[in-house]
Amino acid sequence: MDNKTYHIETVYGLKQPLSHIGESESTETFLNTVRVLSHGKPVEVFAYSGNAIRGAWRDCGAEYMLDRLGNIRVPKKAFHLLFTGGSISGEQKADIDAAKAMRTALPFVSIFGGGVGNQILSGKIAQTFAYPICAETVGIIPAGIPEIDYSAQQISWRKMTDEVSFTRKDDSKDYLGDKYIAKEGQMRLTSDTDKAKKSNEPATQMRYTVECLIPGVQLWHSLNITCNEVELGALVASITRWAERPYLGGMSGKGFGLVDAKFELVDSDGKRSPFMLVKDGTQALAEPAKEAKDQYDAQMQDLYNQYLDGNKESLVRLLEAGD
Amino acid sequence: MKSTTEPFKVTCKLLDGRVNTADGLFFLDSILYHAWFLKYAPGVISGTEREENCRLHFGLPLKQLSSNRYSASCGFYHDYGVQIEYWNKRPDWGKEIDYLDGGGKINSSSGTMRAYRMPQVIHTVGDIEFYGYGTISKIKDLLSYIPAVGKKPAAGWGAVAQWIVEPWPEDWSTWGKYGLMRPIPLDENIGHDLSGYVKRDCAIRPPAWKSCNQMPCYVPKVTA
Repeated sequence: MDNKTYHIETVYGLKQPLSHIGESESTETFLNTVRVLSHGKPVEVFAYSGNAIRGAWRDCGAEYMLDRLGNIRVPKKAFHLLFTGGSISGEQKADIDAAKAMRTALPFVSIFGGGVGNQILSGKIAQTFAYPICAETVGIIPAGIPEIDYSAQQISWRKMTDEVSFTRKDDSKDYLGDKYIAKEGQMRLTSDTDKAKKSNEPATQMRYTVECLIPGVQLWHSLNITCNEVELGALVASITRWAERPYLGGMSGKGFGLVDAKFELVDSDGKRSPFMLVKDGTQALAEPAKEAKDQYDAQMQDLYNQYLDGNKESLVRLLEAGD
Repeated sequence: MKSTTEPFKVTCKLLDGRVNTADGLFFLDSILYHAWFLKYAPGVISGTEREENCRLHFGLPLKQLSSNRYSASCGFYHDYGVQIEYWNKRPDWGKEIDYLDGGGKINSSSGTMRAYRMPQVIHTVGDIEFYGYGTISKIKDLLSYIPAVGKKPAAGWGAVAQWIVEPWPEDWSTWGKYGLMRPIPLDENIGHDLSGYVKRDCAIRPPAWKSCNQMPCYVPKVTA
């Protein structure tokens, strides 16, 4: 199957605040910043790590693959490879046949890469960090993308941030504690010293603050991948699984990180065509994305059938030892 | 039509100016070497094909000099500063536990399954300039296969916005505007006093990771 280079650009629109921590001081966390060159001048700007995007897609892609293989469970070593890229121990080797088998059987591993057995399989994605549309990224964000509100390029990203404070409350010190903490004599598991300590110690509660990007900010991201259509399908499948819960950054449990996203294919002449859309909790695949995913699904179905035919051990061995 | 070789300049315009490199050295011949395999034998790069089985005659569109090295300079650039950034590898064993077969304990602080927070040396740089002597059309074609320079492009560093290749009046691949333009073995005489340059082991031809290509060299100062 022929390899082709795909250039995919994405515009994320924040529907909730975004937290992506760079540094923290005491109980306050700050957004991740990097120094970029904009119009020949170095400036500091927020950036969402490319590795974080890839890591989320990797998790989702591994889930998708294991679900398609009949919701199978894998041993620790294979789990470690699929969800984090694995590791190698011992002398590194280059086993051409094993690499070929792995890349053919598991397109997901082929595009995200990893340490298999004692061999490193390189991934196929080259990407950027995701940058906000703001004054500091003029010259980085391409012109003429219909989804982008370019008027935001008049404003510094520093004016697109907010601070949100939370309270972690120690409920043992209020009526819940009075009601549900075992009283002296009721609970034999608690030693006398523990009881004395508990009643005297201060409340373990705190106020903490998170710096975040505000809803409405747009982020732009770009990736290049040279791969065959089945591998592109594996990437699409990973993104579609991520799009079921389209969150960026941390604290999704506290109302942070929900996004819409529009993915477009950009050809070498700069012509843009739709690829995927994630909007208001729904997702749509354009024809190139759908075709690639269908091919990937068909391959996963074949692998699942082999698995049902009693080839579980060979699949797990491939994941664990790479042969 | 027979292609001609001539002096040229390559300008690498980075998308955001951020590139991941510890020693700050970029070699045009190494970049073209990687591009050649991406174009003609991508299986060698992805590890699915043996180099000796490719049955292709390897050759870069660059003039070859003595010691079998190519007419290609290092990359020169203005360095606006260095930042330490990190990439994290944090296995989320808890979140995906339903996919794990069996139980037991996992040590995420040491051993093969440990979590990482890896510091990376990130330079914010201007355009990277290279000079050489070769066939411009072929160099343009090969560079179109290179979307990023430096380490860890998969994590988002070093994205290239544009490669510009243009004729240049002089061959600056060895000596030029910035003085020494590429590593030169200590015992090679290029007709200039190199005593002020740093001496260290360096590759003089690609692939730079092969120890047989490395030797003690005078190394240029690549930042302005």
